[in-house]
Amino acid sequence: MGEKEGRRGILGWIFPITNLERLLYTLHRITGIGLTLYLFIHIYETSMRMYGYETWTATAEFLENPLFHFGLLLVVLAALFHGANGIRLILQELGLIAPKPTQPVYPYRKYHRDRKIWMTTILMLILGAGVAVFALRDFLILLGVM
Amino acid sequence: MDKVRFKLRRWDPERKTYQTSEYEIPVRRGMTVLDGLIWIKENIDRTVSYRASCRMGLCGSCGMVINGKPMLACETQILHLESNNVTVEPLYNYEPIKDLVADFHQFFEKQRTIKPYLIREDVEEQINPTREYIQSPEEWNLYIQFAMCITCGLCYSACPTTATDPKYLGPQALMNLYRFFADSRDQAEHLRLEIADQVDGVWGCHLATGCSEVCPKGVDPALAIQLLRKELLKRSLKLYRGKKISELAPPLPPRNKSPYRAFGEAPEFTIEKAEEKAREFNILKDDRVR
Repeated sequence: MGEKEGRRGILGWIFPITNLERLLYTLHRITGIGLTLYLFIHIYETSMRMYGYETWTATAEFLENPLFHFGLLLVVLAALFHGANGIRLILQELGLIAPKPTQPVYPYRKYHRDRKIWMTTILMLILGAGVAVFALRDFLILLGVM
Repeated sequence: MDKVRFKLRRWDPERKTYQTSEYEIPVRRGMTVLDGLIWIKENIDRTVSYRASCRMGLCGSCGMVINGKPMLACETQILHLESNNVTVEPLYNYEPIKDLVADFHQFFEKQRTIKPYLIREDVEEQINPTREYIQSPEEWNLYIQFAMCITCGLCYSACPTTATDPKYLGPQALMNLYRFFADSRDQAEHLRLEIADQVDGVWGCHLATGCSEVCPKGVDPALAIQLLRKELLKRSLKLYRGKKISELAPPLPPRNKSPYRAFGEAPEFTIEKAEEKAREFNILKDDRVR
């Protein structure tokens, strides 16, 4: 799958960013990979409990710093985006909010987003952003800023 | 006259690598990227290879990646790019042949797998057609958008799934599959849904919609894939009721009951009568038709 076949490979997941859905697709992939990685790290972290109370407390103390808190905030934001965008994808991919086909008339329009698709996209982004505000607030409280 | 720098990312088939060539060309208003390439070939470098034919966005031959976006070179005006540097590359996700020419054999092979033709139970009528099939404007509207495809292949180039999965049927083939599925003259709806219902079929699409965004004809392959999935969802929930199939048009009334009879009987054509008329109007010089 190299240049012999002319396929772009993983680079093709990111470029060319031609439109909003393409950007959301790229972010969905990145957050998905990030969340999967976090899952393994989280399992490793909690497995420290098996080695006794002292190891567990030491791990908890090691993780108790702003850097890891910020990492956790990123995980929460990624999960929010991935979830909200996932709902949009389910609705849109299964054709539940797909518009009816129409005969193209010059100048030809690009990917046709009718009102239903725009509403779903905006609603999901607002939902994700709304919950993200609470996550950000908790993070600031944790840092002692608020 | 403005000058613009063309950077061509050219595939060298002997060295199996890309190399970049740069040319400075004069640009006037209305000049397309294809005009620029023709100018380079005629005036600077005759070794530059590219594919083009109609120069009016109909044949779909001149698909290229221009400034990072798949476009038709003949429909892209250089000044509309608003840049003094124009980068031209062969289409992504295709095996390059030489310079800017991409190999489309996989593209057309995938298109063949979806059986891009009408399949009917009345095979004899298909082979020796006697009459047309009746189709209402509403039924025509269901697929005409997808029948506008010019197979330029830009959609494959913009598709992120095609970038990593060589088995994925791709936006054009799936769109064409829906085009025949939605056509009321086609009777192979279940076969078409079976072809679509694969991991490398509609389920390989992740709705990046780059295909629809770069399509120069407004065909919207992403919509076709969504509609195919909707039908598959209906089928899995046992809600699929089938579609209306076009019937053959009724036979024309017999000649002596023709509606044109009100205008008088059409004269029967014979060579003798034609010769007679020809002589009457002095058309024939040697008293012979042939």
